[in-house]
Amino acid sequence: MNKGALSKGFIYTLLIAGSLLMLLPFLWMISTSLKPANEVMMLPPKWIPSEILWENYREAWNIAPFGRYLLNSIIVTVLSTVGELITTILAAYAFSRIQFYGRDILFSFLLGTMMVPGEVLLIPNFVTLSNLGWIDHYEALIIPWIASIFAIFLLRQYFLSIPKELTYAAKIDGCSDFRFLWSIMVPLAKPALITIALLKAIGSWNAFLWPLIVTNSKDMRTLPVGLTSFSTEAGTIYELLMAGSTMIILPMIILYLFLQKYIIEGISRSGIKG
Amino acid sequence: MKRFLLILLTLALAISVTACGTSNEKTLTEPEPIANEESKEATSSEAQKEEEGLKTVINKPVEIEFWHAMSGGHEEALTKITEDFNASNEYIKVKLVNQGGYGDLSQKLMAAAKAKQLPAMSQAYEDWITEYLNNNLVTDLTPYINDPKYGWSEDELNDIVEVFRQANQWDGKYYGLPFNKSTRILFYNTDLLAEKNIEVPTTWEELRAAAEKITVEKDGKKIVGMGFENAFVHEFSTWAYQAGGSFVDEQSLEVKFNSAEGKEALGFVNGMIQDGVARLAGEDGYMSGPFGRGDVAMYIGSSAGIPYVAKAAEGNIHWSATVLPAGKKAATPFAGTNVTVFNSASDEEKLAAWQYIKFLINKENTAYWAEKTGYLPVRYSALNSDSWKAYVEANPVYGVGEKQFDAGFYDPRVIGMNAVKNAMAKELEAVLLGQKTVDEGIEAAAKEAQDALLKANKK
Repeated sequence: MNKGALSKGFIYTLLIAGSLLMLLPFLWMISTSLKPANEVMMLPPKWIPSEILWENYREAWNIAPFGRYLLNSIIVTVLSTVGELITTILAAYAFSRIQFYGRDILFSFLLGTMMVPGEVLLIPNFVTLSNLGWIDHYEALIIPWIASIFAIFLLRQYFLSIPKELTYAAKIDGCSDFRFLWSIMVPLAKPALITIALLKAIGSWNAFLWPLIVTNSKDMRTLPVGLTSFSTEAGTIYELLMAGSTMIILPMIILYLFLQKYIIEGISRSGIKG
Repeated sequence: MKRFLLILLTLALAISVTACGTSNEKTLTEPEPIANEESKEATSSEAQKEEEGLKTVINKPVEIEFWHAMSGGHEEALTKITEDFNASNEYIKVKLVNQGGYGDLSQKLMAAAKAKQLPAMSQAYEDWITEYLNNNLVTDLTPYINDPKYGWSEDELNDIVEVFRQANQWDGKYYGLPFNKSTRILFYNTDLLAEKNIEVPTTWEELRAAAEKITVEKDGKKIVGMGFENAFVHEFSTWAYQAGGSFVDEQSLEVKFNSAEGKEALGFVNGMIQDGVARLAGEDGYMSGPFGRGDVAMYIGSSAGIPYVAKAAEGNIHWSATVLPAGKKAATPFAGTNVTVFNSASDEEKLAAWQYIKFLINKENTAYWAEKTGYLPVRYSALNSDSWKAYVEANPVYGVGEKQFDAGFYDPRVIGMNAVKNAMAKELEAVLLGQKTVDEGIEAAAKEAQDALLKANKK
């Protein structure tokens, strides 16, 4: 009993130390976002600013049209997440439950595309989108992202773990594939679907390079692109950048507080983070 | 059936792989023979135009895009100038498009060139322009400059600071014009220098002596005499030129810095760091931080950083700035971008871009730009104007840059300069960290740099 308490104490100390270490950058971000400029780079770091400057937030908000960026970020994140869920459910069902010629070869080809790094695809994708006339439109920000091989793979594996007997029973009762998918498979796969949606939402919310490359006008840009407004070649206005960053990650933190059970499950299931 | 499908898929894969291969080749900078012929034709027809003057007339609305990487206060100043231009022009409208940082801008220009979506004009470094020129993407601005109706007089052209003019000429033709130009200056803490009764250093020897005198450790806080920005690789050419050596030959693509002078240059800087009288910015990111705190008494940094230094120093230290100390000779790099016009634009768009460039860097606007941003005015007339002189009187540090025009140089405009610097950086850092001797480091850096240069320019 005593031994158990001791080892428990040890584990908790370790965990608390670990979480403090993880929180440190966030604390620095929030503390910096409230500092006057000359205290930002002080050594040792000044954790509590000599005066709390809330107007850093107002100044940061006004440096670029962040209201518009916020709207765009929400539109892009919501639509690409919903879109990805739809394509993923349909594809994963086909690859796990429907028999057709070349299914597994096709699937391994799809998996093969995961080995192509995104940077290589940047220019070809840009050329394709500009031929379609989508540059500087929502289409360019959303449509390339509504299919994810990784998500299909994740969901297919999940579907495979659902007993085939359910399919047979449904078929015998005269249930169509589509009905079976929506009424049986999707509810059963809810944890996997929430994981997929969260990873997508976080990734989409934080995306920087793609939204920058495919948009030209300020009206079409997203929040992470707005953060570049605080940096120049000669330096960065850290206090404003941190105020901007705090505002941008706030929605993700709120999302996390509500859905942390699923996020943790998702990360331990997939072995990657968003 | 299954076998047939397999063959089909393998075929599809093979085709897609080869398709990738060709498109990758195109991203390399090999000038295609056809492109060369085209450019010859283009220049000969432009030469004709030059004799007769430009035929293009703008009599209906023209909208052009100007891609740039200016943000914050810099973007505000650019927007003001552009709005003034748009307001004063009946037909031409210039639309500013911010494309993030320079790296993002470069990547996007590359993608846009592939997709034939280039804007009419953009900011660009000299080595980017070399690359665009090899791919026949940029417009020769010389006919516009010389045009009797739209162009500049001889005096107006020569009014542009000479080192900037040279940096924008390839084979005697202008493919760009200077826009936001900065230089390196020596920032110093006036309190710390006065405390030790030290004159502002003007030579290497004085710099070293001053740094030695200032470096102390008191109350557990260390004050270091001299500071260098991180990425010393960007500073190295300056020291090599100051030692009387050279860096990379633009014509022959030969690496020249592994000379006695190059070793002396690296040895001098490395000696100060190893002896503890100088330090790199390190974790602080930019030297303006430790300098503003008073941890470092002097440092060499970009004149574009003046506003950041002012901010970091406010309430902490008193400071000023001066020209770089000289070695065997004075040498000061001039960096920053130019504006360039792309070939893909129509004649009307090109003319509109030219009209805008003329406005952007005219006497009043280049002075306004400099006052708002800390970049240098690019015209002698602006530098001599009463308003600029009054401004420099009130803000002496902004007057330092122009004092070094005669010692100015610019980086060799070779394709792959980025790769060269990346290759050198590792070796130079190894020296500054004490892992390699100066001789070893410089020879290794030269070899890596030469390899990178040849690879980037492989025909």
